[in-house]
Amino acid sequence: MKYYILYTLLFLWTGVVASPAEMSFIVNKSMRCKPASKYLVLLKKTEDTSIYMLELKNTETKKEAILLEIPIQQIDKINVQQFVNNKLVKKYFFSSKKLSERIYYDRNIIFPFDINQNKINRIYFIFHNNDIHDFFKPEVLIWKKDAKIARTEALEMTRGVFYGILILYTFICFLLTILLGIRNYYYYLIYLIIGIVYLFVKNNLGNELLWPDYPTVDIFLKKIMLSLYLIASILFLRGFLSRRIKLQQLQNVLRYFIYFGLLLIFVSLLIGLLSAPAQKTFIIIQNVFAIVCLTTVIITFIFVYFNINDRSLVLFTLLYFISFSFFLFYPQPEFGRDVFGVYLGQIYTYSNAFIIATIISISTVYRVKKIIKDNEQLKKEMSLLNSHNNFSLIEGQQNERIRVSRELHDGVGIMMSALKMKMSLLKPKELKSKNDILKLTTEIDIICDTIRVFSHSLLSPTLKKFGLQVALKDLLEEYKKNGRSLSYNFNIPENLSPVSQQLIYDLIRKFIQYFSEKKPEQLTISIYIIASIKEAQIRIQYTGTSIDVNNEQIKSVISIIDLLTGKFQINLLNAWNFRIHMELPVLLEEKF
Amino acid sequence: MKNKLIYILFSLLIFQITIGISKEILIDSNFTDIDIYNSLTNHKNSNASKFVFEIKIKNKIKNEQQLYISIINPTIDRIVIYDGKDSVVLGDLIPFTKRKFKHTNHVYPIVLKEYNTRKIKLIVYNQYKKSLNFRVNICSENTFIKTTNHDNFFNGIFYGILFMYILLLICFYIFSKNNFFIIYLCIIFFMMLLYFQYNGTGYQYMWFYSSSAQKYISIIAIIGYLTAHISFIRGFFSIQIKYVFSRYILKIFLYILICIGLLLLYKLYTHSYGYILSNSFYFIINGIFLIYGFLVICLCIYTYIESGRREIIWVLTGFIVHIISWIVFINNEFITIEWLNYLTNYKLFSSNIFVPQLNYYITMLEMFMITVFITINYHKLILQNSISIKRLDFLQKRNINTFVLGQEVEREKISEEIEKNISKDIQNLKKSLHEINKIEIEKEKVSSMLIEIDKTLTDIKNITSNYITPDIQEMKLIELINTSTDKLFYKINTTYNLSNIPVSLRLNALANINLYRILQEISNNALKHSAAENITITGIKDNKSLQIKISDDGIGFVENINKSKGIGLMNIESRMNSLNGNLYIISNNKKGITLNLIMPLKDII
Repeated sequence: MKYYILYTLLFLWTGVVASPAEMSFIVNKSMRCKPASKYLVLLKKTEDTSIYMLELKNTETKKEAILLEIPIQQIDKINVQQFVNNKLVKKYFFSSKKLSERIYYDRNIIFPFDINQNKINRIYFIFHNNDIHDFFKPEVLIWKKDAKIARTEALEMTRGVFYGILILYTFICFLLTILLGIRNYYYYLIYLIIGIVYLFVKNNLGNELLWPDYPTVDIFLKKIMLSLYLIASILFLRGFLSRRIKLQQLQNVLRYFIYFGLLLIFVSLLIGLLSAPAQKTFIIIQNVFAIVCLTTVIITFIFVYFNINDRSLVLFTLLYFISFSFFLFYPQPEFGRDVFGVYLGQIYTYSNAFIIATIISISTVYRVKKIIKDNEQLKKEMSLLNSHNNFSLIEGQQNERIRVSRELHDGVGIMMSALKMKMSLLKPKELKSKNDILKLTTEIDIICDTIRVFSHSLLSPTLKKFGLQVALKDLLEEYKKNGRSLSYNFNIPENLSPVSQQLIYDLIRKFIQYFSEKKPEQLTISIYIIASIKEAQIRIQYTGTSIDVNNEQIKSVISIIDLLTGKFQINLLNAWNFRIHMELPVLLEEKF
Repeated sequence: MKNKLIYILFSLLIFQITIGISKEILIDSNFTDIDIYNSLTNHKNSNASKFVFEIKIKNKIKNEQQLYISIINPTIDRIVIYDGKDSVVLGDLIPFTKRKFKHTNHVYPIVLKEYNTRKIKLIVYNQYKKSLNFRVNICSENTFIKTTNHDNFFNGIFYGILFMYILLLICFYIFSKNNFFIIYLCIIFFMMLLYFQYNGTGYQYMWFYSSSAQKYISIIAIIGYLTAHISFIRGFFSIQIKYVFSRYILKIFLYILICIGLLLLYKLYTHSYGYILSNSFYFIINGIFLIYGFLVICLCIYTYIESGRREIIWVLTGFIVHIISWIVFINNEFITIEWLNYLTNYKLFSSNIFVPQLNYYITMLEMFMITVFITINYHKLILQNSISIKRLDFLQKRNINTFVLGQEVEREKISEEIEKNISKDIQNLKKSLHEINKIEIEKEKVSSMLIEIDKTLTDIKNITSNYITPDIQEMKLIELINTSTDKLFYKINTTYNLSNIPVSLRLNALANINLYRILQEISNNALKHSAAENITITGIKDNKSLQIKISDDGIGFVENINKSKGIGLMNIESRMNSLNGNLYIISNNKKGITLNLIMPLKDII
């Protein structure tokens, strides 16, 4: 595998760099479209003018019609002459003028030629040095006529597809921006629209469709649109960052980029009045600024990617940005050489529309799925909170009881014990004092006892340590010890929350306190907790007189059940038997 | 038998007619393009079986001229061109790959020498026994390239929007799992096939190897389109309409429509027209479509009145748009009604696309409309989310407030009980001890015991008596901080640094109670657990927030925090939450601890 990659690289290298220099461009039947820049020979270069020569050879038996194409962004004025056997045959002069007056209708500069067989065909390119915007020599592409038409058809359609995708996408963004009204979205919308307009101007579509008769407008727009695009992309980046990462310095640096871009626009407005060399310098400055800007944007995105949780969104935005910018800055890959022209460049550029659409769709699906997931999560949390709401008051009360009981036990209880110890160390001489101290010690004992009982009444230690089931058993067995008749059965799930455990324990304790006074002959307590409907059903059946609803304990039970919107019923089974039926909601510990 | 005779008679009369048109064209330097023939403006002659054009082209200028003759209808089977001695056959019977000039329409290029005249005979064969819609156009090279470029770009934009639209539908199917998106996708897909066939791009870029594909693709597309369309409508209304009986009627009616439609289409495309004459096709097909359309519109209105659901309006609008689109599209094939021909011929910019521009615009309108529908739904989803978040926030706050209320109520209750039971006993104990102290010799011991009892009483007071007195709710912030932390003075060297807080600043009642409790809890903890000697309390207020920092030099509190958050700390946190604030604990590794309370001003004033 390693060797395979190595060989491929070597092959590409020999193809790209080490291809032997040829003198004449061969025109034959199989030639459809071929870049001819490397066949251009510089004949003469003075301070003002450059002359290049291209030699063509027709290897077929009859004359071949070709089209010679030069990208329009590169040159303003050019003189092209064809010599056959050193005799002038055709002469064209091109200057940036109305599109309808072109020799051959195309957005680029096209010169048609006939190449005679078995003769020396030479084409000379003469232009002023200030008129060329490329730094070396003009790029030239040679076509067969039918190939050019077939290619243009396909190319135009792909370009149209690209615009179509962007149009609908922009429309969706526009709608969402209007509906949501978030500042960031406006930045993004501006970026998108300026990007599309820049593309429209750069691809000469504006010139062709909107201002075909105003070449000056076209040149001017081409100059300022790049700066505008860069400003918009930095604005978008600032907006994107401000909601995700707080870095004031970075925001400031990006702000200076925007100021510089605005300055460039201002300069380009002035430059119309200045000389041609000034324009050339301006273009160089603008290009350097563009490279710095784009590198900054990409580096910042990568930085954000590694410092944020929402990584996929950053990745999608970066990919989208790169794809979109690539299309903007590399619109005519057919002029490129070898790998970057014919293979990678063309395939990438022409499939860019689909790549962008795919990125957009994947990110949309990802985002929508996330929103739906969030929504479901929120709903779950809300229902949980709702069910918790009634318990909050009780939770607050229990929390306070836990705190007081612990502090009484740990603080006051221990202090009293220490006091007792100290008391025992006193050695009084008088008998009365001795008796007094004994009395005091007994008093302290009683206080300690009271504290313990009080603290336990606030928070049962068994419940805390072993859970509701054991604590209830403990409580009820204690009741049974006094020779009273009691039967009970429970069904308590393990994941019953501490609040509900404490609540049920308190309820039962209150009943036990009540029945300890009333002493019924027979008492049956059953507790069922139904996890599926989160409800506890408590049934207490006893023999004796009807329950006293004005009793403090019973009153507090009823008020708790009311608070939880539960149910409290007293049924008379027969003259001696009564049944109390209670239903109340419970909380279970859930994981989501 | 009689019918057959009539049919033969008719076919002899109508279908075997040859239309002959001769034209002379002068080419000068201003020449751009000219229409030699257009069926849409001359539809009465368009049901001939053969169209013969004799064109004479004269070049009046010195330069050689490149001209292009385009026959605009990419579905014509056979065209023969006689150019001097040469004859060329064009048409769909020749696969696209074998064409000499590869273009969406049938194009014949001619080079005209200077001052030269050329005679060209062009025969277009009508493979259908119905009107044939086509246009013959001659144009100069630049005009031809310009029109071709613009047409392709326009087609591209249309496909781009369509492509993005399909992706949008797929996306929404993925998350909504609604089958209607899939059926609608099918409708769009088959419609796309129809566009592909009728504007020639399908033959050019997709099925270029096969002429039979070009011939029959439209049958597949139409059948698919109709089936998907009807199943969409049926599915949609069977959900909306409650009565089973009406659902059955709808079903039966739709199946009948499908059968008749398909039969007609089959007859039309296999050229077996039977006894029905050409123009009748148009009226029958359109009639069926209109009945179907009328039925669906009635259903839409009926169900909208019944259920009032908004989707029905979208479906209705979409459906009306579809009907208009069908009528124009079908008329482009049959060219029967004059005013419709005018609509079919309507162009915003000059183009050589066979499909009427109006169809493009209507379809784009539909796509934009449905996009609005989808976007609005997406927006609803986002809105729902933000409402849920607000509601959740509200619920959380309400729960915390109830929790705090519960604590306050219970505290009051417990303090009363402790006062009744324990405090009184200890007070009595203290009295007895005092009395002993009068006679006892070991006075030091007893007085130390008395001090301890005092401490115990203070402790009990700390535990219980701190329920809120009404004046706390009215306190100014500085006063509140001082009162809640004054117990620290007894033991620890306390420094206040509150110059940043305006003297008159007063928080709202709830914030006052919560802040008082928080500071009290912190003071209690500091007194009990941290062995601190110095404590600094700093208050900072800026435009948006209030910050209170409590730093000590103790060690004990660190351990307390590590014990998986004691109840005290939990209390502080829940109270901070109810103020929308945050609690930060910075431990300086046994050199002390800093508690930082930050609250947004808008929630506490």
